[in-house]
Amino acid sequence: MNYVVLTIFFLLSALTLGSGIMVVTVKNIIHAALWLISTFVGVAALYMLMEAEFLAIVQVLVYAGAVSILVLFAIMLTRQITGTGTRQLHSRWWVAMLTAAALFGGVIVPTVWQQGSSWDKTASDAQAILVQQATEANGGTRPEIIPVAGTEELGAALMGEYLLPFEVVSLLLTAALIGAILIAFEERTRRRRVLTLAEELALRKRGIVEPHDEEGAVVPVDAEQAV
Amino acid sequence: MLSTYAFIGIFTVAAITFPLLPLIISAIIRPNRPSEVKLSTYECGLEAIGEIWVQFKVQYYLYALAFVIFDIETVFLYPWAVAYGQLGLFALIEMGIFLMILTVGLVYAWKKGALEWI
Amino acid sequence: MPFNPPSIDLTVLGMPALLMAWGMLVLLIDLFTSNQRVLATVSLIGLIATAGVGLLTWGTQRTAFFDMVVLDNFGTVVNWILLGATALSILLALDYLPRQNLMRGEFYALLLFATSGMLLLVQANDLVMIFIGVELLSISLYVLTGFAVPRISSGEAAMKYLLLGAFAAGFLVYGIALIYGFVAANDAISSTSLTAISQDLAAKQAAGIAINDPIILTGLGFVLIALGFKVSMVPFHAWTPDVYEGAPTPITAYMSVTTKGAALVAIIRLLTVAFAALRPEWQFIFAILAALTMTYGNIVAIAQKNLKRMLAYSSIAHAGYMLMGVLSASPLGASAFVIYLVAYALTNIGAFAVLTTLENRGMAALELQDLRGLYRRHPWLSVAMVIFMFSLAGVPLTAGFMGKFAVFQAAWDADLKWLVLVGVLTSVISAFFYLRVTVQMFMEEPVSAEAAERPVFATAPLVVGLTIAVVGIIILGVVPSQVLNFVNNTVVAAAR
Repeated sequence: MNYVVLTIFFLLSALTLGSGIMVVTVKNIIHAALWLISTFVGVAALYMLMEAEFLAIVQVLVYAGAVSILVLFAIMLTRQITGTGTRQLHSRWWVAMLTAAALFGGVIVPTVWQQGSSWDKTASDAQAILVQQATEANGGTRPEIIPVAGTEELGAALMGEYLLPFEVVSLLLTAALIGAILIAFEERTRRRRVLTLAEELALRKRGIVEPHDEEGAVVPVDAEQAV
Repeated sequence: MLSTYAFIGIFTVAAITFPLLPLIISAIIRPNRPSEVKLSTYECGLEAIGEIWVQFKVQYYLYALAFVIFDIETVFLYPWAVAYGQLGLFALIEMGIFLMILTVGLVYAWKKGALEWI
Repeated sequence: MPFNPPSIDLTVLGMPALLMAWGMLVLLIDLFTSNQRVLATVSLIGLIATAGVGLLTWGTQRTAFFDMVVLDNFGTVVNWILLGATALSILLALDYLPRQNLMRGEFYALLLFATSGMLLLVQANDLVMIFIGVELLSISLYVLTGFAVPRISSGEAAMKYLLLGAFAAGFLVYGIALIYGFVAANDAISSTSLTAISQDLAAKQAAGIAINDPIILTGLGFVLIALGFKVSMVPFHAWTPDVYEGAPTPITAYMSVTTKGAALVAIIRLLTVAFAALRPEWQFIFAILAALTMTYGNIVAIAQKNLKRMLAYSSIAHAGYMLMGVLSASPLGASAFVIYLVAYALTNIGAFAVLTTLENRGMAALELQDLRGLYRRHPWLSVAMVIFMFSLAGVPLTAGFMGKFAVFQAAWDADLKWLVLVGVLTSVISAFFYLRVTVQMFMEEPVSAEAAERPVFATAPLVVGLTIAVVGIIILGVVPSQVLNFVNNTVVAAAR
């Protein structure tokens, strides 16, 4: 592996790890969420470096794009915890640390043990080797089913070998959509709406403290009563 | 193979430098005289009330969830589109079925009023 | 590289495919009508039609879609049981939903989606298909568990189920990745299909490579943890009581039977098709887990005051008995599992049906003492409950007895005699709390005058469901030979 790639790798790792540390140490929870996006992008860049283009795109699309939006929305939906200075450490933080370390070790030790000799192989090298082995095992002709790596092969595999799971996934997504609507809709009809700034101002001027129900949501006041 | 991404790398570096440079330059050359009025939050001439962070409507979350679902759909569309050249009509029909099933979900969401603003 | 499209074999996929399409249809019909009866009827027709497809494809045995799914008589029989259990649950829900003010048409569509996921899981012959089947049934069930959202306990149950289920899904994917990594390492076969895995393991064994490698054992363990979670096998059972208590009662009845059945079939296929070569590695561990599951479920159930929680712990115990059939890993074991599943489906859904008739609006779960004096209020209902309790306890002349007899026999033949002993002992323990329910109904006075006046909602669909369950239990218990012969012939034939 040449030194340029190695340098880029270390820079990206530093970005990813640094942002990861920031996620768990900054006091402001929204800033933590923003650092999380930076971590996601760093991981995507690392995927790119490993020539796993599709994975990189998915990482950006799903994690940096969608999941981080969900995280931010979830934070902004909860009124109480948006403030700064939330306590960072649980009293038994070392249990979490040990668990994380054990999980990391559980992943890294077998990997190094199994793959230690082939560190410097890139994805396309590995793919070429696999295809060659498969062809040899098949008596010289390239077999029908080969390991999938590139985006194009993935697309072909989705339409071929993995056609059935691919179609069922659409049903899975539809079921998830229905579920999301069903539950969030219920929530919406129960909570009603949050007051606008003007309404809140009008209430304050008349010295009315915001009424809260037992779940902490604002109970809307009728229009004529508020004005 | 990796060198094709060198352009993206150069582009990224340029994209970061370009906005940073004016900021740094202006930080160096501008005079620094803060006062209370200058530092106060500006909100259309009104005095600011309450906190900056208000609770969002649950409505937003519904959109976010729907967005995630269709985002995942894109993940499947992407390799399909890349490989489409070699796949032909069969793949078009298969993707049609995939999208049709998801469209039923969308029609459902639409008809139930989940996309309406209240 | 020219692309050759795969052959679409709809015969093999017939049952799940039809049910999925039918679920979409129900979803669309729901947009145009708010009449629950129409939706329920259409769903029931769909279930019957799907069962009919099974009749048409009966006897076919082949795989399709690159070995992703398999059609055999064993799978078809289990599919029929799952479809029947779904139909019974719809009968339970028909009057329950309006009474609890939960009239939402999505209920039926989601129920059909969950069932089609289970049918896929039953027919899955590939790790990826197992994953997709598990996810389809789980996502639908998370929502159905939280269907009674205005009630806090229902939302809480859905939340717990979702979080722990997502964790289990993580285990499943990681396990699949490890298995794929081991199987695909250094050779040509790189498919996730169960047949390919068994071929690869055999080839490795022939080449003198040790196949009890930590990587594949970890992978198999992770996959079994995830499936064991769905079965609520000890020690992955912790979610069961809370989720069963919080979910709407028809859904509790539904998932206590069908999820276990479908996931156990996936375990059977995984262990006997793909990992038969590793049998010495998994059988003993599984036997210990089955013993723990039976013991834990039955002993903790004794302490329960709440009927739904008691039935939840009893369902954990029954999962243990079914595991006995599964881990025997023989045609006899598979047919014993099928018989147990039929008996358990009829009995457990029946018992939950009785609870459904007693639940007033807004009432989440019943206490044991609410059953006091039920015999005076509604004699037939209490007689039915007695039959269900006897069958759950495994009293002779009921379906439950036949099921237990079959799994004990299978385990005995597989040379797991100590496990049979554990099974018999725990059954004796279980008789205590099942009989306590009957004692409450017959012997004791109602807690208060108000309790004695409480209405019993034994409406027509529920009575139909109860009758089917009671008749089925008695037929299977009194004249079991026909059913036993049928199951033995089909399953043994299917297992070659």
